[in-house]
Amino acid sequence: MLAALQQVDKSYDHPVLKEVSLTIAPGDSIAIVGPSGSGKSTLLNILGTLDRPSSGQVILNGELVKSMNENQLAGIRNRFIGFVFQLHYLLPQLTLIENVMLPTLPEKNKKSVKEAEERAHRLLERVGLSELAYRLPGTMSVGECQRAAVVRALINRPGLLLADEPTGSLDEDHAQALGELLAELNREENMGLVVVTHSIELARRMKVRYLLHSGRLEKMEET
Amino acid sequence: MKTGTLIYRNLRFYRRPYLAILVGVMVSTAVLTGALLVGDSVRGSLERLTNLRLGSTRWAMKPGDRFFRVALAADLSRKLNRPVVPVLQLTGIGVNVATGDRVQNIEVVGIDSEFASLWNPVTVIPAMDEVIVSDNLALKLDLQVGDPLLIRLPKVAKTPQNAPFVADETPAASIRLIVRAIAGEENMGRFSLKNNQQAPLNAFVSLEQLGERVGLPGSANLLLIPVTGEAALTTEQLDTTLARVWQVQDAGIRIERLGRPVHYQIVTDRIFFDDQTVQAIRQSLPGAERMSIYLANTFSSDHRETPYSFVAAVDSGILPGSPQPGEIIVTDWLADDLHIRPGDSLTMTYYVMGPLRRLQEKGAGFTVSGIIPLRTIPSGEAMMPAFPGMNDAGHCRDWETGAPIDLDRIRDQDEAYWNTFRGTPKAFISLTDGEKCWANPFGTVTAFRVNSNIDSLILASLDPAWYGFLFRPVWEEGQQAAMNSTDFGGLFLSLSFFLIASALLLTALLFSLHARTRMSEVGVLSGLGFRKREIMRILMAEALLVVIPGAILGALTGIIYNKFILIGLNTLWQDAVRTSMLRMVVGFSTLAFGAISGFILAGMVLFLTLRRQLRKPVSGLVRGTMVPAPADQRRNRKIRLGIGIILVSCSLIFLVALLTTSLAQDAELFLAVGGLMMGGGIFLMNAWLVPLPGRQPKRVSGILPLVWKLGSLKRGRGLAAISLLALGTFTVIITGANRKTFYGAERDRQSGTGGFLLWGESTMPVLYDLNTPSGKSYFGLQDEPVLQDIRYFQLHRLDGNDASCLNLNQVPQPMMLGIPEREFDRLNAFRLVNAMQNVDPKHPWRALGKEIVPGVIPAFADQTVITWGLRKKVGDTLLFRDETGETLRVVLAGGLDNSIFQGHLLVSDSLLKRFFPSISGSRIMLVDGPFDRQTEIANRLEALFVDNGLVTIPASERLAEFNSVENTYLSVFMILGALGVLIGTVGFGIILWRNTLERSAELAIYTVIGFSKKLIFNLLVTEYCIILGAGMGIGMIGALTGILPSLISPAYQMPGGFLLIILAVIWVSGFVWIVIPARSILRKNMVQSLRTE
Repeated sequence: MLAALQQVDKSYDHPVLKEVSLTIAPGDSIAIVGPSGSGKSTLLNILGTLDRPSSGQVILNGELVKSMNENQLAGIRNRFIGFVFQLHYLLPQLTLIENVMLPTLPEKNKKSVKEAEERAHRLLERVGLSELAYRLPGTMSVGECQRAAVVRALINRPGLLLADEPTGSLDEDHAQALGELLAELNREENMGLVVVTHSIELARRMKVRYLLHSGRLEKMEET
Repeated sequence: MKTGTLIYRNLRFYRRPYLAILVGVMVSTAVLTGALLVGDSVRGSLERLTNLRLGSTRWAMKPGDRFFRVALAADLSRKLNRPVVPVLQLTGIGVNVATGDRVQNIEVVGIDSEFASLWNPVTVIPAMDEVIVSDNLALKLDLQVGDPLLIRLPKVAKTPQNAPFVADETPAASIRLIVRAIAGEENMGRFSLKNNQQAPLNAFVSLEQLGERVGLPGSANLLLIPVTGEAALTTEQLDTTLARVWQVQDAGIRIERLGRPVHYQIVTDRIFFDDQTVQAIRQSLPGAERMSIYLANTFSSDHRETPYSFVAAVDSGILPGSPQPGEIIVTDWLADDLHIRPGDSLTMTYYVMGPLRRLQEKGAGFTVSGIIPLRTIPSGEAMMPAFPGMNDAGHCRDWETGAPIDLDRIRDQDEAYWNTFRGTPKAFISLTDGEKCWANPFGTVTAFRVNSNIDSLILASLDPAWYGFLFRPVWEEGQQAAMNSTDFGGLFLSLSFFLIASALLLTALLFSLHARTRMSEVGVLSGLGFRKREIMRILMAEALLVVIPGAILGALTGIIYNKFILIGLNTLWQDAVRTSMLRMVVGFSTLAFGAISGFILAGMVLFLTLRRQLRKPVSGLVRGTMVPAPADQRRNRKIRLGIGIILVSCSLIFLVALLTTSLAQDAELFLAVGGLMMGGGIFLMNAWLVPLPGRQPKRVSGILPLVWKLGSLKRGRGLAAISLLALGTFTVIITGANRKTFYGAERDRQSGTGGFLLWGESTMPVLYDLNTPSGKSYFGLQDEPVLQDIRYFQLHRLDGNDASCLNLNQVPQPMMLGIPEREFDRLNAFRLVNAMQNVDPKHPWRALGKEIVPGVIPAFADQTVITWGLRKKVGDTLLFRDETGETLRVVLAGGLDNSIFQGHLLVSDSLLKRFFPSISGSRIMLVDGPFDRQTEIANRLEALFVDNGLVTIPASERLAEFNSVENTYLSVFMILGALGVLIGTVGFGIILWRNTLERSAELAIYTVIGFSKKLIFNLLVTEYCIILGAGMGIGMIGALTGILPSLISPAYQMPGGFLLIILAVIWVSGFVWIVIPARSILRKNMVQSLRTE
């Protein structure tokens, strides 16, 4: 088991998540769909340790998140989790390869960094961006940037890849390509993949789909 | 990629915001460094002024009111093998002969060719009938080279002027001279031994001519020793060498050769020998016989009288027979005149002279124990001391004794006696009785008689220090005084506080805005597993790389700020420094300190700003929105509303309480109330700005409801702007309006004027008590109708340095004033703000009356003088040397509220006279009289005391002069504060600009739905003007509350015009910063903005 949510509740001034439970194993790909404001991003943020649940347990890589401090959580995010957001959030001041290598900055082991650099080039080649490695994000298309953001999420070989509306800002062709990429990487890297999306197309590419409705997570039947 | 690369890329990419931050850091560091450099410049300028004052002089010796031989300089020079410069320095009155203009208190400096050795280039030395005047004196009297100048001088003498029977001649010596040259500041024009930045009014004349004109040929009263290439000297070496070369004449001692049977008589120029000298002579010459000669008003016996006769109190060896206590030996002349025989009773009356020549006639009775033939008295004529005004008199009727002589009583036989026997005493009493009768602060003994030449023996027994013959390292003292002068660096740092704070706030604001734009980046880095510490390190590294050059450039720019401040101090704000001689001095250490301080301050501000930003939740950072929950907003609003209401209510309650109670005059309390009011206003505004989802205006028509509905100035930013503007406005008004004024309180005895009408200061001392009939008569006061019912408080002054706020130098030994403490106690005059425990709060002046222990006396001074001029506190002790060379400890027993005595130490007059008996006459006069005749009284007094060079000013004006220093600082603070507020308005503008940019899409929507550009412009300007008005309004309300007691006082004068101009400038600056972003955003294609969004 890579990660699990157990009876997770989350409230702001009203309940957002109610007794949500979810288990993710290596190689799993899960899509979470639901209407706007249903708490999909909140669920993903809790899973990605960017937010904490009001109650319930979050277990990542066999460890209880509740018992971890901020530094340990940062470590977990760096090594165990990869994040892809709706917007790519590439740093405009860095080249593509530098953006991809950004998660390796906290790593002190030079050998690991060297390996990561080789991996970055491989991954960029894998997503068709090797030619653009030394370009700044401002000179690239949104789709290219989003693919680069996926590569950045994978650079530290995370066990769990979390994607929050990854195709939300892309046109249909780019969205389809990114969906394929995520599915392929899920298979190739044998990592857990959780995608929050409105896109039926993207959701269909995932092995399991859940509907988040009125704060409750319900597994969707195959259609 | 390395972290360094990331930081470099970030700096390059965000170069514009970082450039703005760099400018902010530069401004704050420049102000900080510039303020500190003002300290360097003032210190450096004072050091330079010390050099201008002294030339190459390093040591000086000025033995109080004593004079010594000019030749002593040459004797000492030979021993020291370096120049020693003799000077005769007196205070006089200068009169332009052509115009009749007069200037009091000019320094008349008698110099010879040696004086040129002190100055480089070599100075012109005045010949006979020539004078060289300092440029400021030339300016005051409108003198040119070749013009005639009349100098009136005191009739100085080696005899203390207040010693018994010393003539009270009007100080009328004068010299008419031709101006040969005008001495500039660089070349002896500023010559002075006083540590003061104010230039003295100097007139340099020939030493020889000056000595002759004042009746002291060949005399000097000051020795100067310059620095030379020779080995360094110490004051101890100088004093030791002086002790080897000085002569008894320098101590005022003369040895007169007499006929047989007694060979020599030792006398002093000062009439009476002081006790130390008497002891020394007796120890060195055990055979020396003492005598003391005094003038008796009357000898009487059995209804017969002999007027005005000298009587001698003698040791047993002077006469063949010696009188015992209670006995008197009379001459045969007196026995015949009074028809007395041994065994008869004889009564003697005589005057005892108190301070200011207050005479008291006393009497003593004796039994005649013997009659001695007049012609057998050994050297009888030589016994009488050289009383000025008596010795040279041809007749008794010509005597000028300083005591009233009834000429009608003088008989022919008295004249005949004077013609034949001169001052030969007519009677002899024991020395014990003599001491009982006429002992005075100067001593009792007037002469010694010995049989051998004892010059060297006497000299060996005397210590030059007893007579004030001590060298002082005046240059070193000057440098010390300059080094320890008023800390202008600290002062201007305080005055520039608001400016520095504004620049730092602006920097923080710029950085905060920049950091906000990068919050998504921070969120992504967090999402990628960067610890907050690492993100903080990266962002701080970027910031510090900007702060470092900012601080360095700022420190250098501080030189310019310093230059502006110095220009202000030398011109507009000259009241604060009393000189236009301040020059820029830039110390590298100060530059470095300023840069480091600027770096630390800006670094801390940026660190705190960043830490605050990074506290926000990571998920919010990624989304880029941090909207607090509505429940939190409601709670926050309630808390702020509550605090605001409490603060405003408290302020109003205190205000009413203060206005209706006796505390109403406490300015600090009112200021605190004003502060509460302002704080409350800020909280209320804060509460109003909290956006609540449920709050809706009742109608949305008209600009204000629209602003209310649509206004989106975020609470934090709006509040920052309001707080900044409120605090700035509050500070500017408070400092501008809270000047020291006292009109209306000037007649109050407890005020700084003591309720006195006039403060008078004379160049020549006034020797008589003006409250006595004789004193009034002497100056003709009794005939002046305007001067009836006037009371004079004449104060003796021991010269020293001015320790008031008008002198920037640190003063170790300020001027001392003798105060009639009983009179002050009776009047309950002035007010102490600080006192030692043993000072009775109800009768503080009584504490001055008694010596604490022998050699330790209490003193009061203005608290500001104690704190700033002396750098001491109540309870501390100052060291002086009394007239006998002994250490006198003066304990600061109390601090007065701001008073007309600023710059002086106040001690009991009787104690001052005891330790410094030679202080002759009063130089300071407090006049108590009706205020409606102030000008007439002042004019009349100045006319009557014209020969004394009396200058009077209303006591309130004198106090105002001291207050003007503080008021000038307040002006500086107000202007620098206003500059700070202007910088604040720049910050305000940046907030608005940013806010307007962020609202591009919103404004585009307004366009799309049909709002006209004008309406959108009005919306923005109205919203921002509310913020500007609220900030300034809250500040103004708080400030006006703070100065309410002054405002409602009919006597209060506020510099309203200037203040209004400053506030208008702030408003205009703020308005400009409102209009610029509003206009610029409306010039853009707003629909394009919407598309981009």
